[in-house]
Amino acid sequence: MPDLTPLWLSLALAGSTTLVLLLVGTPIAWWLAGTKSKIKPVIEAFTALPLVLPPTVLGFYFLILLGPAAPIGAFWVSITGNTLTFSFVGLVMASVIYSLPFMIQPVQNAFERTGRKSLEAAATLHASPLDAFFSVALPAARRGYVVAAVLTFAHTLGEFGIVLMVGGNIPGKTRVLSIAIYEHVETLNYGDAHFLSAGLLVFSFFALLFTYTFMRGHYRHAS
Amino acid sequence: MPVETNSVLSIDLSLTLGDFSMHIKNELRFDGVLGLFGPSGAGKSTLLRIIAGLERKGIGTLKFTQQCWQDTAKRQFTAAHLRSVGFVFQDSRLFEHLSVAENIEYANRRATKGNANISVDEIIEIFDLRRLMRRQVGDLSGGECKRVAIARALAAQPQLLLLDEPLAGLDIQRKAEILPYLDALQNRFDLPMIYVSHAVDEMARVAKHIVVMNLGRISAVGNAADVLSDLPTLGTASGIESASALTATVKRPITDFGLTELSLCGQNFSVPIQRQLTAGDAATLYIRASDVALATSKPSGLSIRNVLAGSVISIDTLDRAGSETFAIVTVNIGGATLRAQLTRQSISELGLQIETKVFALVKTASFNRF
Repeated sequence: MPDLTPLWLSLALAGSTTLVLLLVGTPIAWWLAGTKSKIKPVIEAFTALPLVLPPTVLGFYFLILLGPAAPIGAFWVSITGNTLTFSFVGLVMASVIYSLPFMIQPVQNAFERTGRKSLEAAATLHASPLDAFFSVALPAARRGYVVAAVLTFAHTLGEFGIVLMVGGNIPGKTRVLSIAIYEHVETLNYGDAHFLSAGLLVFSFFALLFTYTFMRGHYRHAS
Repeated sequence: MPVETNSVLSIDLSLTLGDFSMHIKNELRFDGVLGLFGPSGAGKSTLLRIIAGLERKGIGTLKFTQQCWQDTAKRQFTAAHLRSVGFVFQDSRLFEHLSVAENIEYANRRATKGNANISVDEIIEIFDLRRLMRRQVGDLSGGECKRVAIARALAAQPQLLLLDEPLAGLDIQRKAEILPYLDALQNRFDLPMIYVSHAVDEMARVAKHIVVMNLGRISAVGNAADVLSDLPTLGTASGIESASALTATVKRPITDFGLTELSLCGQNFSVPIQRQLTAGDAATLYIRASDVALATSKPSGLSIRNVLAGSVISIDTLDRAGSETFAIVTVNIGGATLRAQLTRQSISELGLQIETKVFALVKTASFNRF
């Protein structure tokens, strides 16, 4: 039985990232779903970047951006006394960017499906735009949110490169599951590597299985 | 005694959307249902959207009774959710994440306060929704969706109800099922309503007054009977479908076969039972040109009951899409005129000319209720 601290750390990281992204991703997805702005494709491309960039590229820029020499990193040091790099908070910030498309795209699609039409109907029933957002757009997008949350959570659990670069390998602080597996393999501790790898494999499979079954039911229901 | 004031909608607005431009300057007074009639693309739906506050690009003023909803010069625009306007959309737009009951509850919870004169129980009863209340919206039929959509709009306690082709997409039978609900709605609530449609039969059935719109402008306003009688002249000019308005007297209100028998210029004409009529009543019938066929000899062995003898007065080409295929044949039936839309091939094969004796076969006719 290997040390399970990396597992709890991974779950905490994935959970925090998902929560932050629910809050940050919603307005972005909402804006993207409704806008006719010319810069929409620019923002869409930007939010989709983590899908194609090697994690090392993101990790490298984060290392610089969050480092004590950069404004964000320096500000953090001035209020907490610790650096953002090689800390749990720094990892959450990097993960939020890394998993951004997994939150935005399903939620944006869900908002687009609800569309302007339902919101107009809500307006003629005396719902203010804010009321219509919470009473029509959000509940109608709930399936999109479930898919987005599951994918974001699973994707964050599986990240490796960006964590290694921004967080390093500090036991109990930044040594998450994927790093622990790497460490076990490096030290030829295959038993523990098997244990953690198989766990992650099974979890990821079921997360995806859930997502695909759920989406299929959704589209069948809608058509 | 207070002077009774009917609701008035004052519109003085211009709008340009791409190629389409609209100019409306009219005072619309409400007394019963106001039909907004015109061919597709005339701007009927756009006008409704402007009235509801869903279309912000109009320039000018819009007032409903005492309330100013829009005044571009004063930079005033009342947002859609702050206007007491109910809107029944062509595509219903029910909230799919809610049940029927929850859709109606959604509207009623947001109803304008101090304006509640329509009881939800009454709406449910009138639209016969008791059975459907717990259903999910996705499980409703087309006709049921329409009923729920109208009920939901009413539950928000509007002061003005806009219906944008509420029966679009339903077949004749489904339409006939919904129309009595609209009658009940009119009889029960004294609510100003604008009813948009491009179908003559719906207009004849529903509207007391009619506004005709064409190419973004209002081309006629008046009593339903007057406007509909003028339609043939309006129609050729504006691309509205051709129809005839004919006056008939009731001979026997109820026959054994569930029909009402009329006398139309001395000839028999029967229609599905009209319980509101008694013997001797005069009634105006609307017959769409596309519901009339012509024969040169008296047909026998035919299921169509209404065959009227007459002679051809004129043959006119259509001034709209379909002119290469169809033409309008006008027939004199004992003094009244009836229009038939035939293919040019039929006209040629039957050898129709002016003064040819013909028998007109009428498939369906509709009534104006007023």
